[in-house]
Amino acid sequence: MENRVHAINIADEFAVYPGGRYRKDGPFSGEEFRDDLLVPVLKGLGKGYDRVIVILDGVKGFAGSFLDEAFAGLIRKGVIDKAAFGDKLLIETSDKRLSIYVDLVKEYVRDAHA
Amino acid sequence: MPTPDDPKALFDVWDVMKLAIGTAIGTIATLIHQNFKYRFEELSDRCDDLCRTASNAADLASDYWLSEASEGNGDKLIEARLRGYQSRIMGHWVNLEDRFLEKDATPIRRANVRLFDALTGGEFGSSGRKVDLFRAAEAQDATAELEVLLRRALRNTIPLRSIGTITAQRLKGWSRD
Repeated sequence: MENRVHAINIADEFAVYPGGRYRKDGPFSGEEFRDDLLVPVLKGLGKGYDRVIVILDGVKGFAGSFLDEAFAGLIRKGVIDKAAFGDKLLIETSDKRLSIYVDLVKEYVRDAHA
Repeated sequence: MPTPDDPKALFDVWDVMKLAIGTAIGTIATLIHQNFKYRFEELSDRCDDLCRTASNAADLASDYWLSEASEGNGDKLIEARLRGYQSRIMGHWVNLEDRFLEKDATPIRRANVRLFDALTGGEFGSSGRKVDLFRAAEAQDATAELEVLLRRALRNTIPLRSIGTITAQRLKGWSRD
């Protein structure tokens, strides 16, 4: 079975300095990233690609609140379920300084409830 | 004066060789010891840097979480500094991680995750931020855990440390009996 991938590079397609949690608090928020970028791409799963990979490389760092809203927010909003994380939606970085944020997202996703 | 045929001359050569071998062993042992000492002190300094940075970050985070969101740039400045601390903590950790045993590095990574959530999780950056007592305390606790784990990991880099620890524990047990 073909396993096509849609990659989202946050630094290139969104922001090098992502903001906080909510759209009302300023630009490049987790809510903005989730609703404007991630959700439309996830809705396209199965229509040209089977997996979405979010690449963190190039970003200067994240606030935990951004990551919680952007990724765990997908579960709270019922966009995807926990099982889809690591299967349909992956988060990757080749930058060791950013690898902690991958672990942080996993922690938020684990604690999220629909 | 001993001649080459004289057994006394061979004895002298052997004495010189023993001296040379002894000196070589001493020099090598000193070099190994100095090299280890230098590396350990350098590693210890890096751990101190990480502990200091984490501690400063935790103090600033506790101040931040113990106050509500305010108008003006005060909050933005603290938020920028907390993000900067995160970058510094990760910079220090990346330099250290490969020097520790995997069994020690894994819990430190988890403590870092816990600290990062305490620094910038929750309502961080939100204009409606309320006082968050949990995060104010969690920042301090996660830092304390990080420091303890780092010191333990540092001790575990000492060669033959486990033998020394086991011996010390046995001796303590015998002295109690």
